[in-house]
Amino acid sequence: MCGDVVALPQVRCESAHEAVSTWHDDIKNGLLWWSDDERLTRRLRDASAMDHLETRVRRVSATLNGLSGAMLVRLLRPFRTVPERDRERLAAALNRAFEEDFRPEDVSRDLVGRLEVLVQEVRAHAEEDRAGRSAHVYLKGIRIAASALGQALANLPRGFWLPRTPVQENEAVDS
Amino acid sequence: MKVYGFGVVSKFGELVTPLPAGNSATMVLEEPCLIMWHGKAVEGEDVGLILRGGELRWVLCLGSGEMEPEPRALVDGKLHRFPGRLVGLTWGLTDLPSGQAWDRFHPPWQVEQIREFLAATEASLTGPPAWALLDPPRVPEYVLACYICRLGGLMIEPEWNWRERFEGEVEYWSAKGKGDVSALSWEERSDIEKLRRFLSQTQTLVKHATGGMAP
Repeated sequence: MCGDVVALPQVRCESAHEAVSTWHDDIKNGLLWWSDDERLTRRLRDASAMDHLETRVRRVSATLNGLSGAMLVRLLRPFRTVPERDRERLAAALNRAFEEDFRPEDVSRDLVGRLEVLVQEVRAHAEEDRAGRSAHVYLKGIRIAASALGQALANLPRGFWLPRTPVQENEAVDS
Repeated sequence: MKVYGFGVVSKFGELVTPLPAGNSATMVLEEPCLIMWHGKAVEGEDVGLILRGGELRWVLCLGSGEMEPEPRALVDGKLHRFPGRLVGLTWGLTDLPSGQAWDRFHPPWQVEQIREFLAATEASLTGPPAWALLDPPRVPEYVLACYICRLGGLMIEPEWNWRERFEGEVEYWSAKGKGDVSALSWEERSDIEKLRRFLSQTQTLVKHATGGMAP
């Protein structure tokens, strides 16, 4: 999992931006901000906000490959003069390192797992709330689940991920 | 926005409107305005700048990093430290020597950056000035591209023409190194350790230990 993150202001990583925005807008400001139970309950009654949150988290988990440093081979201006075949080989080497070291599938599974715990808590709350029963008992679970999901989103790279050591030459050469 | 110059910045010629030095400097300024200020008078004595009132005034203090920790600026009669309406150049204009035009003495990237900033400030009807235009030159993309080549297994040899369009940044970063950042020359483009150190020092590369898996 150890790697480096590239933070070059002029080259934005869309996947990282989406992850940070989701964490900030939908989790932190959308749920965790409301320490008052009544206000959090009002927020949870807004089904469209919860649908929006779920959609965004699923999109983040489905686009983690956009965090790979291989994207930089396409985005950095100096590479524009490099033949396409060479660029593809370089990107493939970086993608391989990303798959092996960052393990995006595991990260995605972890994110979705945390999201489903939150969704489950929110649904349980909604059912009780709709039935007119006190649903406050679920709020603690919602806050814990939202915090866990938010932590996972906040821990995602804030830019493009690169391996910390060179890809082995024999791995990089075309077979 | 009106741009005034106070102190040695008279060397900026028509780019700024000179303010008289000494006790006679008390005058009504057109607002909003930017005052470019150099703390040393031509004679080598410090020049103090006292601003009273004027919410729509900003000050750009030119000079080397020696301004800190005491920028020697008095705003509303109090010593004013840098955050706020008084801004210094992080990369500095090391000197404004007598007998020479500033734009002939300083490197082209500095001249270009100051000119762009002044043009944008003059064109602006409100404040604050476009301070972001005074940020130090960014790390050239080619440095990162060279590093990626080395990371990716030496499949691509960085070419000389990769430096094109990054002349200002190259000039800035390859001179003597800045602050804690070592200088990096084009000849070192294959040295992955040096590239990595440079990128880390400039915060272009930031360590990432945990991936997406929260503890």
